[in-house]
Amino acid sequence: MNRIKKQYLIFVSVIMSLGLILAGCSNSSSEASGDEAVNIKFSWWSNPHRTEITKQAIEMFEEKYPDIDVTMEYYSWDSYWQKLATEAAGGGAPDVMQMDGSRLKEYVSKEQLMDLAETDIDISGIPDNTVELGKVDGKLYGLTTSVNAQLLISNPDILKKAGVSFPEENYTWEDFADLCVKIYEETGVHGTPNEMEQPAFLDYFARTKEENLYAPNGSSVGLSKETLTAWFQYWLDLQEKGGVPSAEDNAAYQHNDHSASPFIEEKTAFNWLFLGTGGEFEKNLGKPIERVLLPEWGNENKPYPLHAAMFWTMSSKTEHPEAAAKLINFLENDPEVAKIFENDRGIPANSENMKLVAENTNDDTVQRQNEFMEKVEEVATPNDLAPINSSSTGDILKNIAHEVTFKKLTPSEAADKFINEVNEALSAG
Amino acid sequence: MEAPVQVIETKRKQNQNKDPKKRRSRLETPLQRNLTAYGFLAPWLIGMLFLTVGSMMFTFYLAFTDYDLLTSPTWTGMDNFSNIWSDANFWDSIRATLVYVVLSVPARLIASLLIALLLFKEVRGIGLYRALIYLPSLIGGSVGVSIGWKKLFATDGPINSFVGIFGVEGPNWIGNPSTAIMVLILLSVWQFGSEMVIFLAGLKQIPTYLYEAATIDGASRIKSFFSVTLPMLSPIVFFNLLMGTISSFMVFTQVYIITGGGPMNSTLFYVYYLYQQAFTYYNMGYAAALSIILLVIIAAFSGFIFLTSKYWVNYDV
Repeated sequence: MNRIKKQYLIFVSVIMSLGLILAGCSNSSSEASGDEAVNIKFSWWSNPHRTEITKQAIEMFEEKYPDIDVTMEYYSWDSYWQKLATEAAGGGAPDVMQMDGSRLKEYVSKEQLMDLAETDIDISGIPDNTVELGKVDGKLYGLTTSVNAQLLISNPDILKKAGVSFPEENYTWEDFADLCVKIYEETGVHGTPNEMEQPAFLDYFARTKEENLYAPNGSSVGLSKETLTAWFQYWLDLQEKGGVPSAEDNAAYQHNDHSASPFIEEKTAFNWLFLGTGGEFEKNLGKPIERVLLPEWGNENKPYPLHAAMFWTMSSKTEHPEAAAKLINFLENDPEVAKIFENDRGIPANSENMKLVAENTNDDTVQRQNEFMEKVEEVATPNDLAPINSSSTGDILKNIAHEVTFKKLTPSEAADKFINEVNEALSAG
Repeated sequence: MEAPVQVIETKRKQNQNKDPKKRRSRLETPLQRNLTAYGFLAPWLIGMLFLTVGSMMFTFYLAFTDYDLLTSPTWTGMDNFSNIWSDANFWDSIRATLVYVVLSVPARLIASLLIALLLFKEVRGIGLYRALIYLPSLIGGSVGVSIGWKKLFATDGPINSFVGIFGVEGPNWIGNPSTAIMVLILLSVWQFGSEMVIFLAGLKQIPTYLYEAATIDGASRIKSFFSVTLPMLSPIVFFNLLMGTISSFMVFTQVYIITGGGPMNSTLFYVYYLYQQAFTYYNMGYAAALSIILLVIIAAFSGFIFLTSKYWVNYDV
């Protein structure tokens, strides 16, 4: 054989085998549309415990519906959103997605989600107020898995040492500040971490002043400069008096890393958080905590927001809407699933399941979370979903808050800066 | 039994006969001559075309669009670039990155050279020492090391406990805007390993007769370091300086884990800010524009280093 021919042969065969490999990759994904078993993709953000219980639930689902095969994808919070956006960009969003209130509107506006009212999902067991939380422009794009609420947790030992008690009735922001300062003076332990950088807490502060973080149409900040200035001033005053840790200590603590919270090291008496994460704090602190309502919870305008902990959503591009709807229905309503999930995703939205969990649990924390949620539901009104393009608000507030704590900005300058930057972000795109 | 031998012989003959002819034809068409090589290169070439060149072209296109990953990009012309100049965070990130590059690159060069000199001595078990000292930099850029580093510099971490022994109250390293960047620079200096290995190789290349000549001329050890070792190592210093500068511009993991860009943007390194724009705010177009600017900045710095090199890099033996 001619040697040049041989070289051609090598070259061609290398190219062909590469082609085969590529063809092999693409084949496997288009096979799913066979008539027997359907395959749907389900993804959620997770922690080790949630991964385990969700896998259990999926096993039960696959047993009940042998003709549906579920591919599971789970990531940590940050990676989840990167992965989801990339998958959606490629047109391959998971059929069923766990969704957060801060992103729901954004995904709806990009036409990624399906109206769940058009499917067979049973929402009869869920209170109307709760169903309402997942509606955008009157359409049900997200089904609330569970509800959640902001609160303060406290370390009873420190309060006892400081000789103070927590007000049972409605109390003002000033009362809370005084309490924090008193605790610091008596024990040297700070009242609470500096929560100046938490948008949800700022939103609550605004609600007690009959304002909202965002304007109703979502295109600008809904806060007055006065309220914002008061917010920055409130925490700055606390910092001066020892009610919250120093600017340096605050900057070193990344607030979304709960395991690093000064509360767990007993360096603060309180910690602001969402109800669902309380169990984690209790475990890390190693002793019982108390759950208390935020300042001015009893105001006449019912400032307390009822949050959806998370939503089940369905991709608008799903090829198997029926199977996806069955999965959502199962996760949302099946009593056996509820017993496994307990309060991991928040307090179950389905009222029957919530009772069932409360009756069957061996976990003290779940019991107390439920009791607290009952208190909240009496004083709460549903909160609005975060507007489109609001994902940078957290970083903007964090940077400005740090500049206030280090006294590079006065509270009034900080308020102006916040309004400018958030308005700019909201109007972009 | 005879047949196989014959076959081999004829083959050999054929080959011998063909060889001169083959040479001529190869010279005529270089493509044919190199076909086998291209065949073996194909996997890499295809990967390079699609994964590197393709992505770069796409990035270049995205830089002129508004793209949020979920909807298709819309053409906005120079908007992204004109917005960058009025973006305060962009200037913060430029400042932080320059401080980092200017301080960490020379510090790391000096550290790696000093340690290479120490490890150059042929003592018993030197191989083990070299391996042990090189080991940490294998994992230097990893998440685990960053977490460890964060704990090390925590308010009540080992560093502050250590200085506490001498009655000094350590600062809050990570929470203080003026020291947070130092923590990251120190971590970079600690990752001297790969430079050190290259320096070690360079040191071995220096002919011993140069040192002997220097000793005969009465040079002290310090004098011979500056007059022999350093000039002889200058090509390696140049290489390490260039690679170090480029990699310092692209540092990400450490800042992502340890400081998150804070406090007050004092450690908002360029690539971290780019990442925030792309994956936290979904401003892919803007991030693409930022990455092109980074390309220009790195090219400018590398070009500058190349230009100065003729004044201080010595290639004569």
